[in-house]
Amino acid sequence: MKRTVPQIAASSMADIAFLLLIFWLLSSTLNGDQGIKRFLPPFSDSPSQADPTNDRNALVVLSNAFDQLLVDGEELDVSELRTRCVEFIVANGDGVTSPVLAPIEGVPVREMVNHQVIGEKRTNYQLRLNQGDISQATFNGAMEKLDRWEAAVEELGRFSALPGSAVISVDCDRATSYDLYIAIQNELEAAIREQRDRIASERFEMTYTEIEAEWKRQPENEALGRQVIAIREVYPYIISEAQTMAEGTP
Amino acid sequence: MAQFGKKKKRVVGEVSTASLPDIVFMLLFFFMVATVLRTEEEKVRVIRPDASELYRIEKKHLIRYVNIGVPQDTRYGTDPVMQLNDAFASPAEIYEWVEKERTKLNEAEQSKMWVSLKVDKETKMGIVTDVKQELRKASALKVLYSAGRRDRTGNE
Repeated sequence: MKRTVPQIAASSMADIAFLLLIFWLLSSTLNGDQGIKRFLPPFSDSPSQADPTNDRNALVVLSNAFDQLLVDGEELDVSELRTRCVEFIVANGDGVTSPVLAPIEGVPVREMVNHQVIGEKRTNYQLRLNQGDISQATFNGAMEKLDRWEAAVEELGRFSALPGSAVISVDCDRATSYDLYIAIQNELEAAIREQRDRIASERFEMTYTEIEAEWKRQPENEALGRQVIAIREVYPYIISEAQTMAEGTP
Repeated sequence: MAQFGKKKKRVVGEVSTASLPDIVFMLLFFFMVATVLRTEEEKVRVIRPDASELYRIEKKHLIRYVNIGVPQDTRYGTDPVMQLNDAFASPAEIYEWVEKERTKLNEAEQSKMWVSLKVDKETKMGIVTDVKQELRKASALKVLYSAGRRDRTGNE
């Protein structure tokens, strides 16, 4: 005898599943967060008293309560900031894609780096360490930097390095709007990224952004890693998160 | 008139809906895997500024959020305030908060914690600076200024 199996009504199943789906859609957020990343300097009790305003190795971006910009003593619009920043970081030529020019007024002086210069610097540091002029930690730091330079020279043939004191500092009044602050940070970030992209696409037929992304995907690929490090040496990340001015200053 | 009555009934094939639950369940599973449940409620109004040079943090569990903006509920005033987790807080409380949040991560990842600042674009920099200063004290130095995407401008 054939047993008849009663049919299960499955039509409501879809409704139940839809309900669950909608609940999940409403109560969840998709993927991570995005924004401008920054590394803050470690906390120190004494803010540096040095006034970098007249220093050619510092690009000082100030903004006031009326959202006006003062870049190295010159009033600028946010849209002009990127060009000004590019002038500053390219300085007298990076030595990779452009020849090194004579020093230009108001921007840092880049210094040509090759194996010979690195060798001389190494002996110099060793001597000063032996004489006790510098501490072991300073020496190790300097050696690490020279190692990176060496790697960059290997990769690019030659390049011209920014002085270690070159810095872009942003200082905002407490009443500056956050919108302007982000616009400033974005322009500075863009200036450095553009220059990195430029030399990367001339040398490696890929933009820096692409090389970096590719390296992230395959971290075992050392060739990509060397390229990234070399480019970073030519255009280092020099945006500093300086302390904001005390209230009442211009 | 008989010819009308004799009209043959057209049989329309029924659309089978048997696979519909399967399809919807598949969608559901996709969303369950790809998303994280919303953990906190936004008590301040945050309209993020837009930027073009964005960095995306994929590891969501490493991010801790600091929201700054005008309270949603106007009874709490119209000045920008800071929200940590589910409550309003003053910048002075950040140190403790960072310490606590850090212990929630496993040891290998504690130094990789990101603090995402979700700040309303109308906010003045004063409170943001205070928060940054406190973050430095707490050695939470990796910061993300959360922003929306806009197209790149310039000579490219």
